Amino acid sequence: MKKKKLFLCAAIVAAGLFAAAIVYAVVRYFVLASSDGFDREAFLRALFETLPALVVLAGLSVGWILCYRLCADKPMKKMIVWVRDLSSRVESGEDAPEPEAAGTPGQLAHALAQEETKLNTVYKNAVLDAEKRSEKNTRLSAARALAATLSPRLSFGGLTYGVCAEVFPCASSGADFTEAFMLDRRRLFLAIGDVWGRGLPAALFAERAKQGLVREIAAGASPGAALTALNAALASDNDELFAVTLFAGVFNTDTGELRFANAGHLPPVVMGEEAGFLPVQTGAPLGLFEDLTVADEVCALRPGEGLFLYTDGLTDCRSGEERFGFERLLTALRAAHASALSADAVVAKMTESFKAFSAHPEDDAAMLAVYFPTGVQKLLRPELSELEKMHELLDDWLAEDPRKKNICLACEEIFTNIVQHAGARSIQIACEKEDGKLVIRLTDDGEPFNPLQATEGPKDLYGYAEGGMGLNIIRSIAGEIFYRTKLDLNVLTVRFPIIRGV
Amino acid sequence: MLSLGGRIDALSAPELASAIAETNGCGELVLDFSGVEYISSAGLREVVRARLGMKDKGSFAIVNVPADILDVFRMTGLYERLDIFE
Repeated sequence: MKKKKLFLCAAIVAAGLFAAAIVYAVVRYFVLASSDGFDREAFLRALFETLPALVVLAGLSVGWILCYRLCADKPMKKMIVWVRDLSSRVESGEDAPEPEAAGTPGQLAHALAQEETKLNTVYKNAVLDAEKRSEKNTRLSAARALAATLSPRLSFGGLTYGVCAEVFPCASSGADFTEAFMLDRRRLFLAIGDVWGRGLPAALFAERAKQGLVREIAAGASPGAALTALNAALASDNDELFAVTLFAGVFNTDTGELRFANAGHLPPVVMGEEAGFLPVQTGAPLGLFEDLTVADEVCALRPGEGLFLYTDGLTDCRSGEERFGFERLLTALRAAHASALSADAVVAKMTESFKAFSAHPEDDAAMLAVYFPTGVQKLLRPELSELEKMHELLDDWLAEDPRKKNICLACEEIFTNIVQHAGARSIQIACEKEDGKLVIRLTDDGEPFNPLQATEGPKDLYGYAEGGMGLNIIRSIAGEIFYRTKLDLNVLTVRFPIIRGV
Repeated sequence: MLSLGGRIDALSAPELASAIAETNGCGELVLDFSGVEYISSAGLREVVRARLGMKDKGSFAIVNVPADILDVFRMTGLYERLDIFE
Protein backbone atom coordinates (compact mmCIF):
# COMPACT_ATOMS: atom_id res chain seq x y z
CA MET A 1 0.00 0.00 0.00
CA LYS A 2 2.75 2.43 0.96
CA LYS A 3 4.64 1.66 -2.21
CA LYS A 4 1.63 2.30 -4.37
CA LYS A 5 1.23 5.80 -2.90
CA LEU A 6 4.88 6.58 -3.51
CA PHE A 7 4.53 5.45 -7.09
CA LEU A 8 1.46 7.67 -7.58
CA CYS A 9 3.26 10.73 -6.17
CA ALA A 10 6.19 10.19 -8.48
CA ALA A 11 3.86 9.88 -11.46
CA ILE A 12 2.10 13.15 -10.54
CA VAL A 13 5.42 15.02 -10.15
CA ALA A 14 6.63 13.68 -13.51
CA ALA A 15 3.40 14.68 -15.23
CA GLY A 16 3.65 18.16 -13.63
CA LEU A 17 7.22 18.64 -14.88
CA PHE A 18 6.14 17.49 -18.33
CA ALA A 19 3.30 20.01 -18.41
CA ALA A 20 5.61 22.80 -17.17
CA ALA A 21 8.13 22.03 -19.92
CA ILE A 22 5.44 22.18 -22.60
CA VAL A 23 4.02 25.48 -21.23
CA TYR A 24 7.57 26.91 -21.17
CA ALA A 25 8.07 25.84 -24.81
CA VAL A 26 4.80 27.49 -25.92
CA VAL A 27 5.50 30.77 -24.05
CA ARG A 28 9.08 30.84 -25.36
CA TYR A 29 7.82 30.41 -28.95
CA PHE A 30 5.40 33.33 -28.67
CA VAL A 31 8.09 35.53 -27.10
CA LEU A 32 10.55 34.73 -29.89
CA ALA A 33 8.07 34.74 -32.80
CA SER A 34 8.40 37.95 -34.83
CA SER A 35 5.60 37.82 -37.40
CA ASP A 36 1.94 36.74 -37.47
CA GLY A 37 2.63 33.65 -39.58
CA PHE A 38 4.45 30.49 -38.48
CA ASP A 39 7.98 31.39 -37.43
CA ARG A 40 10.03 28.26 -38.09
CA GLU A 41 13.20 29.54 -36.49
CA ALA A 42 11.49 30.56 -33.24
CA PHE A 43 9.70 27.15 -33.08
CA LEU A 44 12.93 25.23 -33.50
CA ARG A 45 14.71 27.31 -30.88
CA ALA A 46 11.93 26.79 -28.31
CA LEU A 47 11.97 23.08 -29.11
CA PHE A 48 15.71 22.72 -28.65
CA GLU A 49 15.56 24.59 -25.36
CA THR A 50 12.95 22.20 -23.87
CA LEU A 51 13.80 18.92 -25.63
CA PRO A 52 16.73 17.89 -23.35
CA ALA A 53 14.57 18.43 -20.28
CA LEU A 54 11.77 16.31 -21.82
CA VAL A 55 14.15 13.48 -22.74
CA VAL A 56 15.70 13.38 -19.27
CA LEU A 57 12.26 13.37 -17.66
CA ALA A 58 11.00 10.54 -19.89
CA GLY A 59 14.13 8.52 -19.21
CA LEU A 60 13.75 8.92 -15.46
CA SER A 61 10.08 7.87 -15.59
CA VAL A 62 10.76 4.73 -17.62
CA GLY A 63 13.65 3.83 -15.34
CA TRP A 64 11.54 4.26 -12.23
CA ILE A 65 8.69 2.10 -13.60
CA LEU A 66 11.09 -0.68 -14.65
CA CYS A 67 12.79 -0.62 -11.28
CA TYR A 68 9.50 -0.87 -9.45
CA ARG A 69 8.12 -3.73 -11.60
CA LEU A 70 11.21 -5.88 -11.85
CA CYS A 71 12.97 -5.60 -8.55
CA ALA A 72 10.38 -5.28 -5.87
CA ASP A 73 7.25 -6.93 -7.08
CA LYS A 74 8.14 -10.09 -8.90
CA PRO A 75 8.77 -12.78 -6.29
CA MET A 76 5.77 -11.82 -4.20
CA LYS A 77 3.54 -11.70 -7.26
CA LYS A 78 4.70 -15.09 -8.43
CA MET A 79 3.94 -16.57 -5.06
CA ILE A 80 0.50 -15.00 -4.86
CA VAL A 81 -0.36 -16.34 -8.31
CA TRP A 82 0.88 -19.82 -7.37
CA VAL A 83 -0.98 -19.89 -4.08
CA ARG A 84 -4.17 -18.70 -5.79
CA ASP A 85 -3.78 -21.30 -8.48
CA LEU A 86 -3.21 -24.05 -5.94
CA SER A 87 -6.10 -23.09 -3.72
CA SER A 88 -8.50 -22.81 -6.63
CA ARG A 89 -7.42 -26.26 -7.81
CA VAL A 90 -7.89 -27.63 -4.35
CA GLU A 91 -11.32 -26.02 -4.13
CA SER A 92 -12.39 -27.37 -7.49
CA GLY A 93 -11.44 -30.79 -6.22
CA GLU A 94 -8.86 -31.35 -8.93
CA ASP A 95 -6.29 -32.43 -6.42
CA ALA A 96 -8.62 -34.10 -3.96
CA PRO A 97 -7.68 -37.75 -3.78
CA GLU A 98 -10.61 -39.77 -5.10
CA PRO A 99 -10.37 -43.28 -3.74
CA GLU A 100 -11.29 -45.06 -6.94
CA ALA A 101 -9.10 -42.73 -8.94
CA ALA A 102 -6.11 -43.30 -6.71
CA GLY A 103 -3.08 -43.65 -8.88
CA THR A 104 -0.55 -46.39 -9.19
CA PRO A 105 2.73 -45.89 -7.34
CA GLY A 106 4.27 -44.81 -10.68
CA GLN A 107 1.76 -42.03 -11.16
CA LEU A 108 2.12 -41.12 -7.55
CA ALA A 109 5.88 -40.77 -7.88
CA HIS A 110 5.42 -38.64 -10.98
CA ALA A 111 2.92 -36.40 -9.21
CA LEU A 112 5.30 -36.19 -6.27
CA ALA A 113 8.20 -35.14 -8.44
CA GLN A 114 6.07 -32.45 -10.05
CA GLU A 115 4.87 -31.22 -6.69
CA GLU A 116 8.42 -31.12 -5.44
CA THR A 117 9.67 -28.98 -8.31
CA LYS A 118 6.79 -26.63 -7.76
CA LEU A 119 7.49 -26.49 -4.06
CA ASN A 120 11.16 -25.78 -4.60
CA THR A 121 10.27 -22.74 -6.68
CA VAL A 122 7.86 -21.53 -4.06
CA TYR A 123 10.35 -22.03 -1.25
CA LYS A 124 12.99 -20.13 -3.15
CA ASN A 125 10.61 -17.29 -3.83
CA ALA A 126 9.23 -17.32 -0.33
CA VAL A 127 12.66 -17.35 1.29
CA LEU A 128 14.00 -14.65 -1.04
CA ASP A 129 10.97 -12.58 -0.35
CA ALA A 130 11.21 -13.08 3.38
CA GLU A 131 14.86 -12.16 3.33
CA LYS A 132 14.19 -9.01 1.37
CA ARG A 133 11.61 -7.86 3.83
CA SER A 134 13.17 -8.50 7.15
CA GLU A 135 9.99 -7.59 9.00
CA LYS A 136 8.88 -10.40 11.26
CA ASN A 137 5.27 -10.12 10.18
CA THR A 138 5.99 -11.02 6.61
CA ARG A 139 7.91 -14.13 7.62
CA LEU A 140 5.14 -15.35 9.87
CA SER A 141 2.30 -14.68 7.49
CA ALA A 142 4.24 -16.43 4.71
CA ALA A 143 4.61 -19.43 7.04
CA ARG A 144 0.91 -19.33 7.70
CA ALA A 145 0.07 -19.07 4.01
CA LEU A 146 2.36 -22.01 3.29
CA ALA A 147 0.78 -24.14 6.00
CA ALA A 148 -2.73 -23.34 4.84
CA THR A 149 -2.07 -24.05 1.19
CA LEU A 150 0.07 -27.14 1.70
CA SER A 151 -2.28 -28.86 4.18
CA PRO A 152 -5.67 -27.97 2.75
CA ARG A 153 -8.87 -29.39 4.18
CA LEU A 154 -9.30 -32.99 3.18
CA SER A 155 -12.50 -34.94 2.97
CA PHE A 156 -13.17 -38.07 1.01
CA GLY A 157 -14.40 -41.59 1.44
CA GLY A 158 -15.71 -44.74 -0.11
CA LEU A 159 -18.34 -47.30 0.69
CA THR A 160 -16.33 -48.67 3.57
CA TYR A 161 -14.56 -45.67 5.06
CA GLY A 162 -14.55 -41.91 5.41
CA VAL A 163 -11.71 -39.54 6.21
CA CYS A 164 -11.60 -35.82 6.98
CA ALA A 165 -8.71 -33.58 8.04
CA GLU A 166 -8.31 -29.91 8.83
CA VAL A 167 -5.38 -27.72 9.89
CA PHE A 168 -5.81 -24.44 11.75
CA PRO A 169 -2.61 -22.43 11.41
CA CYS A 170 -2.48 -19.65 13.98
CA ALA A 171 -1.14 -16.16 13.33
CA SER A 172 2.39 -16.75 14.55
CA SER A 173 3.10 -20.26 13.41
CA GLY A 174 2.29 -22.79 10.70
CA ALA A 175 4.01 -26.07 11.38
CA ASP A 176 1.20 -28.62 11.85
CA PHE A 177 0.26 -30.79 8.93
CA THR A 178 -1.98 -33.67 7.92
CA GLU A 179 -1.95 -36.03 4.98
CA ALA A 180 -4.31 -38.72 3.71
CA PHE A 181 -4.62 -40.49 0.39
CA MET A 182 -5.39 -43.91 -1.04
CA LEU A 183 -2.34 -46.09 -1.69
CA ASP A 184 -4.46 -48.45 -3.78
CA ARG A 185 -8.12 -49.43 -3.90
CA ARG A 186 -8.09 -50.69 -0.33
CA ARG A 187 -5.34 -49.03 1.68
CA LEU A 188 -5.66 -45.54 3.03
CA PHE A 189 -2.53 -43.74 4.18
CA LEU A 190 -2.95 -41.15 6.91
CA ALA A 191 -0.54 -39.02 8.90
CA ILE A 192 -0.45 -36.09 11.26
CA GLY A 193 2.61 -34.15 12.32
CA ASP A 194 3.74 -31.22 14.41
CA VAL A 195 7.06 -29.42 14.03
CA TRP A 196 8.67 -27.97 17.15
CA GLY A 197 9.43 -24.49 16.01
CA ARG A 198 7.78 -21.42 14.61
CA GLY A 199 7.67 -19.30 11.53
CA LEU A 200 8.70 -19.93 7.98
CA PRO A 201 11.70 -22.20 8.63
CA ALA A 202 9.49 -24.49 10.73
CA ALA A 203 6.82 -24.54 8.03
CA LEU A 204 9.45 -25.44 5.46
CA PHE A 205 10.77 -28.18 7.73
CA ALA A 206 7.21 -29.51 8.11
CA GLU A 207 6.84 -29.64 4.36
CA ARG A 208 10.18 -31.39 4.01
CA ALA A 209 9.07 -34.00 6.55
CA LYS A 210 5.72 -34.48 4.85
CA GLN A 211 7.24 -34.89 1.39
CA GLY A 212 9.86 -37.30 2.69
CA LEU A 213 7.25 -39.40 4.46
CA VAL A 214 4.97 -39.58 1.41
CA ARG A 215 7.95 -40.57 -0.75
CA GLU A 216 8.87 -43.44 1.58
CA ILE A 217 5.29 -44.68 1.85
CA ALA A 218 4.73 -44.45 -1.91
CA ALA A 219 7.89 -46.52 -2.39
CA GLY A 220 6.25 -49.27 -0.37
CA ALA A 221 7.73 -48.78 3.11
CA SER A 222 5.68 -49.67 6.19
CA PRO A 223 4.85 -46.72 8.47
CA GLY A 224 7.63 -47.70 10.90
CA ALA A 225 10.23 -48.11 8.16
CA ALA A 226 9.11 -44.84 6.56
CA LEU A 227 9.47 -42.91 9.81
CA THR A 228 12.87 -44.50 10.48
CA ALA A 229 14.12 -43.52 7.01
CA LEU A 230 12.61 -40.08 7.31
CA ASN A 231 14.37 -39.53 10.63
CA ALA A 232 17.72 -40.42 9.11
CA ALA A 233 17.14 -37.99 6.24
CA LEU A 234 15.99 -35.15 8.50
CA ALA A 235 18.70 -35.63 11.13
CA SER A 236 21.50 -35.62 8.55
CA ASP A 237 20.67 -32.06 7.54
CA ASN A 238 19.19 -30.20 10.45
CA ASP A 239 21.50 -27.41 11.61
CA GLU A 240 18.67 -25.46 13.18
CA LEU A 241 17.73 -28.51 15.31
CA PHE A 242 14.08 -28.67 14.40
CA ALA A 243 12.13 -31.76 15.41
CA VAL A 244 8.85 -33.21 14.23
CA THR A 245 6.43 -35.53 16.03
CA LEU A 246 4.55 -37.77 13.65
CA PHE A 247 1.87 -40.42 13.68
CA ALA A 248 1.53 -42.34 10.41
CA GLY A 249 -0.69 -45.28 9.56
CA VAL A 250 -1.95 -47.42 6.72
CA PHE A 251 -5.58 -48.33 7.14
CA ASN A 252 -7.12 -51.31 5.34
CA THR A 253 -10.59 -50.12 4.43
CA ASP A 254 -11.81 -53.69 3.87
CA THR A 255 -10.83 -55.21 7.18
CA GLY A 256 -10.39 -52.22 9.47
CA GLU A 257 -6.79 -53.16 10.23
CA LEU A 258 -4.52 -50.22 10.98
CA ARG A 259 -0.75 -50.61 10.73
CA PHE A 260 0.83 -47.60 12.34
CA ALA A 261 3.97 -46.09 13.82
CA ASN A 262 4.38 -43.27 16.27
CA ALA A 263 7.27 -40.87 16.60
CA GLY A 264 6.66 -38.90 19.77
CA HIS A 265 3.18 -37.81 18.78
CA LEU A 266 0.16 -37.73 21.10
CA PRO A 267 -1.81 -41.00 21.10
CA PRO A 268 -4.88 -40.99 18.82
CA VAL A 269 -8.33 -41.58 20.23
CA VAL A 270 -10.40 -44.60 19.20
CA MET A 271 -14.05 -43.64 19.02
CA GLY A 272 -16.30 -46.57 19.65
CA GLU A 273 -18.76 -47.43 22.36
CA GLU A 274 -16.25 -45.75 24.67
CA ALA A 275 -13.78 -43.12 23.49
CA GLY A 276 -10.28 -44.03 24.65
CA PHE A 277 -6.64 -43.53 23.72
CA LEU A 278 -5.09 -46.01 21.34
CA PRO A 279 -2.22 -47.72 23.15
CA VAL A 280 0.87 -46.63 21.21
CA GLN A 281 4.60 -46.68 21.78
CA THR A 282 5.69 -43.15 22.61
CA GLY A 283 8.75 -43.10 20.35
CA ALA A 284 10.82 -39.96 19.92
CA PRO A 285 10.48 -36.91 17.69
CA LEU A 286 12.24 -37.18 14.34
CA GLY A 287 15.19 -35.11 13.17
CA LEU A 288 17.34 -35.03 16.28
CA PHE A 289 19.08 -38.42 16.61
CA GLU A 290 20.36 -40.15 13.54
CA ASP A 291 20.16 -43.71 14.89
CA LEU A 292 16.49 -43.81 15.80
CA THR A 293 14.29 -46.79 14.88
CA VAL A 294 10.52 -46.49 14.85
CA ALA A 295 8.55 -49.70 15.30
CA ASP A 296 5.41 -50.79 13.44
CA GLU A 297 2.33 -51.55 15.48
CA VAL A 298 -1.05 -52.99 14.49
CA CYS A 299 -4.58 -52.52 15.72
CA ALA A 300 -8.00 -53.08 14.18
CA LEU A 301 -11.04 -50.85 14.10
CA ARG A 302 -14.33 -52.65 14.46
CA PRO A 303 -17.21 -51.68 12.19
CA GLY A 304 -18.62 -48.42 13.43
CA GLU A 305 -15.43 -47.31 15.10
CA GLY A 306 -13.38 -44.28 14.19
CA LEU A 307 -9.93 -42.90 14.90
CA PHE A 308 -9.20 -39.29 15.78
CA LEU A 309 -5.71 -37.81 15.34
CA TYR A 310 -4.84 -34.36 16.65
CA THR A 311 -1.90 -32.13 17.56
CA ASP A 312 -1.15 -30.51 20.90
CA GLY A 313 -2.44 -27.19 19.57
CA LEU A 314 -5.88 -28.63 20.26
CA THR A 315 -5.33 -30.04 23.76
CA ASP A 316 -3.05 -27.18 24.88
CA CYS A 317 -5.17 -24.27 23.72
CA ARG A 318 -6.20 -21.98 26.54
CA SER A 319 -9.25 -20.10 27.59
CA GLY A 320 -7.97 -17.81 30.31
CA GLU A 321 -5.91 -20.02 32.61
CA GLU A 322 -7.73 -23.19 31.64
CA ARG A 323 -6.50 -25.62 29.01
CA PHE A 324 -8.66 -27.65 26.61
CA GLY A 325 -7.04 -30.80 27.96
CA PHE A 326 -7.54 -34.52 27.41
CA GLU A 327 -10.70 -34.91 29.49
CA ARG A 328 -12.49 -32.30 27.42
CA LEU A 329 -11.14 -33.93 24.26
CA LEU A 330 -12.62 -37.32 25.18
CA THR A 331 -15.94 -35.82 26.25
CA ALA A 332 -16.26 -33.84 23.02
CA LEU A 333 -15.34 -36.89 20.95
CA ARG A 334 -17.90 -39.05 22.75
CA ALA A 335 -20.59 -36.49 21.98
CA ALA A 336 -19.48 -36.19 18.35
CA HIS A 337 -19.37 -39.96 17.93
CA ALA A 338 -22.83 -40.37 19.41
CA SER A 339 -24.34 -37.83 17.03
CA ALA A 340 -23.03 -39.32 13.79
CA LEU A 341 -20.64 -41.98 12.68
CA SER A 342 -18.91 -39.83 10.12
CA ALA A 343 -15.43 -38.36 9.80
CA ASP A 344 -16.75 -35.07 8.42
CA ALA A 345 -19.23 -34.70 11.27
CA VAL A 346 -16.60 -35.45 13.92
CA VAL A 347 -14.15 -32.89 12.50
CA ALA A 348 -16.94 -30.33 12.21
CA LYS A 349 -18.03 -30.90 15.83
CA MET A 350 -14.46 -30.83 17.15
CA THR A 351 -13.76 -27.63 15.21
CA GLU A 352 -16.82 -26.14 16.84
CA SER A 353 -15.67 -27.16 20.34
CA PHE A 354 -12.13 -25.92 19.67
CA LYS A 355 -13.23 -22.53 18.32
CA ALA A 356 -15.81 -22.09 21.05
CA PHE A 357 -13.18 -22.80 23.71
CA SER A 358 -10.44 -20.54 22.42
CA ALA A 359 -11.11 -17.64 20.08
CA HIS A 360 -7.43 -16.81 19.52
CA PRO A 361 -5.32 -19.95 19.89
CA GLU A 362 -1.59 -19.40 20.39
CA ASP A 363 -0.45 -22.46 18.47
CA ASP A 364 -1.58 -24.25 15.33
CA ALA A 365 -3.91 -27.15 15.68
CA ALA A 366 -4.63 -29.99 13.30
CA MET A 367 -7.10 -32.84 13.38
CA LEU A 368 -7.85 -35.87 11.26
CA ALA A 369 -10.68 -38.36 11.66
CA VAL A 370 -11.16 -41.66 9.90
CA TYR A 371 -14.20 -43.90 10.17
CA PHE A 372 -14.71 -47.55 9.49
CA PRO A 373 -18.44 -47.48 8.99
CA THR A 374 -20.79 -49.51 10.98
CA GLY A 375 -22.03 -52.47 9.04
CA VAL A 376 -20.47 -54.93 6.71
CA GLN A 377 -19.68 -55.47 3.09
CA LYS A 378 -19.05 -58.33 0.74
CA LEU A 379 -18.05 -58.78 -2.85
CA LEU A 380 -20.33 -61.18 -4.71
CA ARG A 381 -20.10 -62.84 -8.09
CA PRO A 382 -23.08 -62.08 -10.34
CA GLU A 383 -24.59 -65.55 -9.98
CA LEU A 384 -27.79 -66.61 -8.33
CA SER A 385 -25.84 -69.10 -6.23
CA GLU A 386 -24.30 -66.11 -4.43
CA LEU A 387 -27.72 -65.34 -2.99
CA GLU A 388 -26.91 -67.65 -0.10
CA LYS A 389 -23.85 -65.60 0.80
CA MET A 390 -25.88 -62.43 0.68
CA HIS A 391 -28.56 -63.92 2.92
CA GLU A 392 -25.88 -65.06 5.39
CA LEU A 393 -24.39 -61.57 5.47
CA LEU A 394 -27.77 -59.92 6.05
CA ASP A 395 -28.68 -62.58 8.60
CA ASP A 396 -25.59 -61.76 10.66
CA TRP A 397 -25.93 -58.04 10.29
CA LEU A 398 -29.62 -57.71 11.03
CA ALA A 399 -29.54 -60.25 13.90
CA GLU A 400 -32.88 -59.87 15.66
CA ASP A 401 -34.24 -56.99 13.59
CA PRO A 402 -37.92 -57.64 12.88
CA ARG A 403 -37.47 -56.28 9.38
CA LYS A 404 -34.96 -58.94 8.49
CA LYS A 405 -37.17 -61.03 6.26
CA ASN A 406 -38.45 -58.07 4.28
CA ILE A 407 -35.02 -56.52 3.87
CA CYS A 408 -33.60 -59.84 2.67
CA LEU A 409 -36.45 -60.05 0.21
CA ALA A 410 -35.85 -56.55 -1.17
CA CYS A 411 -32.11 -57.21 -1.46
CA GLU A 412 -32.71 -60.47 -3.26
CA GLU A 413 -34.97 -58.73 -5.75
CA ILE A 414 -32.32 -56.09 -6.42
CA PHE A 415 -29.56 -58.68 -6.64
CA THR A 416 -31.41 -60.92 -9.12
CA ASN A 417 -32.30 -57.84 -11.13
CA ILE A 418 -28.62 -56.90 -11.43
CA VAL A 419 -27.60 -60.47 -12.23
CA GLN A 420 -30.17 -60.68 -15.02
CA HIS A 421 -29.76 -57.28 -16.60
CA ALA A 422 -26.56 -55.48 -15.93
CA GLY A 423 -23.91 -57.91 -17.23
CA ALA A 424 -21.80 -57.15 -14.18
CA ARG A 425 -18.53 -58.88 -13.29
CA SER A 426 -18.93 -58.28 -9.59
CA ILE A 427 -21.50 -56.92 -7.19
CA GLN A 428 -20.65 -55.35 -3.87
CA ILE A 429 -23.13 -55.18 -1.05
CA ALA A 430 -22.42 -52.77 1.79
CA CYS A 431 -24.64 -52.28 4.79
CA GLU A 432 -24.44 -49.57 7.38
CA LYS A 433 -26.58 -47.85 9.97
CA GLU A 434 -27.22 -44.16 9.57
CA ASP A 435 -29.30 -42.20 12.05
CA GLY A 436 -31.22 -45.34 12.96
CA LYS A 437 -31.94 -46.13 9.35
CA LEU A 438 -30.53 -49.20 7.72
CA VAL A 439 -28.73 -48.31 4.54
CA ILE A 440 -27.80 -50.93 1.99
CA ARG A 441 -25.80 -50.14 -1.10
CA LEU A 442 -25.43 -52.47 -4.03
CA THR A 443 -22.69 -51.49 -6.42
CA ASP A 444 -21.96 -53.27 -9.68
CA ASP A 445 -19.64 -52.74 -12.61
CA GLY A 446 -22.13 -53.69 -15.33
CA GLU A 447 -23.72 -51.54 -18.02
CA PRO A 448 -25.48 -48.45 -16.71
CA PHE A 449 -28.80 -49.89 -15.62
CA ASN A 450 -31.40 -48.17 -13.52
CA PRO A 451 -33.76 -50.81 -12.18
CA LEU A 452 -36.10 -48.05 -11.00
CA GLN A 453 -36.80 -46.99 -14.56
CA ALA A 454 -38.72 -50.17 -15.28
CA THR A 455 -42.20 -49.71 -16.63
CA GLU A 456 -45.27 -49.98 -14.44
CA GLY A 457 -46.02 -53.26 -12.75
CA PRO A 458 -47.74 -56.13 -14.58
CA LYS A 459 -51.39 -55.62 -15.49
CA ASP A 460 -52.68 -59.19 -15.72
CA LEU A 461 -51.57 -62.67 -14.76
CA TYR A 462 -49.73 -63.12 -18.06
CA GLY A 463 -47.78 -60.01 -17.22
CA TYR A 464 -47.01 -61.43 -13.79
CA ALA A 465 -45.69 -64.59 -15.36
CA GLU A 466 -43.15 -62.46 -17.23
CA GLY A 467 -41.93 -60.69 -14.14
CA GLY A 468 -42.01 -57.13 -12.87
CA MET A 469 -43.09 -58.08 -9.36
CA GLY A 470 -39.63 -57.55 -7.96
CA LEU A 471 -39.78 -53.78 -8.29
CA ASN A 472 -43.17 -53.70 -6.57
CA ILE A 473 -41.66 -55.65 -3.70
CA ILE A 474 -38.62 -53.35 -3.45
CA ARG A 475 -40.81 -50.26 -3.53
CA SER A 476 -43.17 -51.50 -0.86
CA ILE A 477 -40.39 -52.47 1.54
CA ALA A 478 -37.80 -49.72 1.11
CA GLY A 479 -38.36 -46.28 2.56
CA GLU A 480 -36.13 -44.50 0.08
CA ILE A 481 -34.37 -45.87 -2.91
CA PHE A 482 -32.21 -44.12 -5.45
CA TYR A 483 -29.88 -44.96 -8.25
CA ARG A 484 -26.80 -43.21 -9.57
CA THR A 485 -23.70 -44.02 -11.55
CA LYS A 486 -20.34 -43.20 -10.07
CA LEU A 487 -17.07 -43.79 -11.89
CA ASP A 488 -18.68 -46.31 -14.27
CA LEU A 489 -20.31 -48.15 -11.39
CA ASN A 490 -24.02 -48.53 -10.80
CA VAL A 491 -24.85 -47.65 -7.23
CA LEU A 492 -28.27 -48.45 -5.85
CA THR A 493 -28.89 -47.15 -2.35
CA VAL A 494 -31.83 -48.35 -0.32
CA ARG A 495 -32.82 -46.95 3.05
CA PHE A 496 -35.14 -48.85 5.28
CA PRO A 497 -37.22 -46.74 7.63
CA ILE A 498 -37.08 -46.70 11.38
CA ILE A 499 -39.75 -48.77 13.05
CA ARG A 500 -41.13 -47.10 16.16
CA GLY A 501 -40.51 -48.95 19.35
CA VAL A 502 -37.72 -51.06 17.93
CA MET B 1 -52.17 -81.02 -3.60
CA LEU B 2 -48.59 -79.83 -3.53
CA SER B 3 -47.01 -79.04 -0.16
CA LEU B 4 -44.38 -76.35 -0.30
CA GLY B 5 -41.84 -75.60 2.41
CA GLY B 6 -38.73 -73.62 3.25
CA ARG B 7 -37.37 -70.83 1.13
CA ILE B 8 -38.61 -70.23 -2.37
CA ASP B 9 -36.13 -67.77 -3.87
CA ALA B 10 -34.45 -67.30 -7.22
CA LEU B 11 -32.25 -70.31 -6.44
CA SER B 12 -34.95 -72.78 -5.49
CA ALA B 13 -37.68 -71.53 -7.84
CA PRO B 14 -36.64 -73.97 -10.62
CA GLU B 15 -37.36 -76.86 -8.20
CA LEU B 16 -40.85 -75.53 -7.70
CA ALA B 17 -41.27 -75.21 -11.46
CA SER B 18 -40.35 -78.85 -12.04
CA ALA B 19 -42.56 -80.03 -9.15
CA ILE B 20 -45.48 -78.17 -10.70
CA ALA B 21 -44.66 -79.57 -14.15
CA GLU B 22 -44.95 -83.09 -12.69
CA THR B 23 -48.54 -82.43 -11.68
CA ASN B 24 -49.40 -81.80 -15.32
CA GLY B 25 -52.64 -83.55 -16.14
CA CYS B 26 -54.30 -83.19 -12.75
CA GLY B 27 -57.70 -81.58 -12.82
CA GLU B 28 -57.13 -79.72 -9.60
CA LEU B 29 -54.03 -78.07 -8.18
CA VAL B 30 -53.78 -76.93 -4.57
CA LEU B 31 -50.58 -75.33 -3.32
CA ASP B 32 -50.16 -75.71 0.42
CA PHE B 33 -48.01 -72.85 1.68
CA SER B 34 -48.05 -73.80 5.36
CA GLY B 35 -44.33 -74.64 5.47
CA VAL B 36 -43.13 -71.70 3.40
CA GLU B 37 -40.78 -69.39 5.29
CA TYR B 38 -39.83 -67.05 2.50
CA ILE B 39 -40.82 -66.35 -1.07
CA SER B 40 -39.40 -63.90 -3.59
CA SER B 41 -40.68 -62.73 -6.95
CA ALA B 42 -38.94 -65.64 -8.69
CA GLY B 43 -41.06 -68.06 -6.62
CA LEU B 44 -44.20 -66.02 -7.16
CA ARG B 45 -43.62 -66.13 -10.90
CA GLU B 46 -43.74 -69.95 -10.83
CA VAL B 47 -46.97 -69.82 -8.83
CA VAL B 48 -48.49 -67.51 -11.45
CA ARG B 49 -47.29 -69.79 -14.24
CA ALA B 50 -48.94 -72.76 -12.48
CA ARG B 51 -52.18 -70.80 -12.21
CA LEU B 52 -52.07 -69.95 -15.91
CA GLY B 53 -51.28 -73.57 -16.76
CA MET B 54 -54.42 -74.70 -14.96
CA LYS B 55 -56.59 -72.03 -16.57
CA ASP B 56 -58.48 -74.25 -19.00
CA LYS B 57 -57.92 -77.54 -17.26
CA GLY B 58 -59.40 -77.26 -13.84
CA SER B 59 -59.31 -75.43 -10.54
CA PHE B 60 -56.41 -73.83 -8.76
CA ALA B 61 -56.06 -72.73 -5.17
CA ILE B 62 -53.47 -71.60 -2.66
CA VAL B 63 -54.03 -72.54 0.97
CA ASN B 64 -52.54 -72.08 4.43
CA VAL B 65 -50.53 -68.96 3.64
CA PRO B 66 -48.59 -67.60 6.65
CA ALA B 67 -49.15 -63.93 7.40
CA ASP B 68 -45.77 -62.61 6.27
CA ILE B 69 -45.94 -64.55 3.02
CA LEU B 70 -49.38 -63.08 2.50
CA ASP B 71 -47.78 -59.64 2.78
CA VAL B 72 -45.58 -60.46 -0.19
CA PHE B 73 -48.62 -61.44 -2.21
CA ARG B 74 -50.17 -58.11 -1.27
CA MET B 75 -47.07 -56.08 -2.15
CA THR B 76 -47.03 -57.44 -5.66
CA GLY B 77 -50.75 -57.06 -6.23
CA LEU B 78 -51.17 -60.83 -6.67
CA TYR B 79 -53.44 -61.17 -3.66
CA GLU B 80 -56.47 -59.91 -5.58
CA ARG B 81 -55.70 -61.93 -8.68
CA LEU B 82 -55.27 -65.41 -7.23
CA ASP B 83 -57.59 -67.64 -5.21
CA ILE B 84 -55.90 -67.52 -1.86
CA PHE B 85 -57.25 -69.13 1.26
CA GLU B 86 -55.47 -68.11 4.38
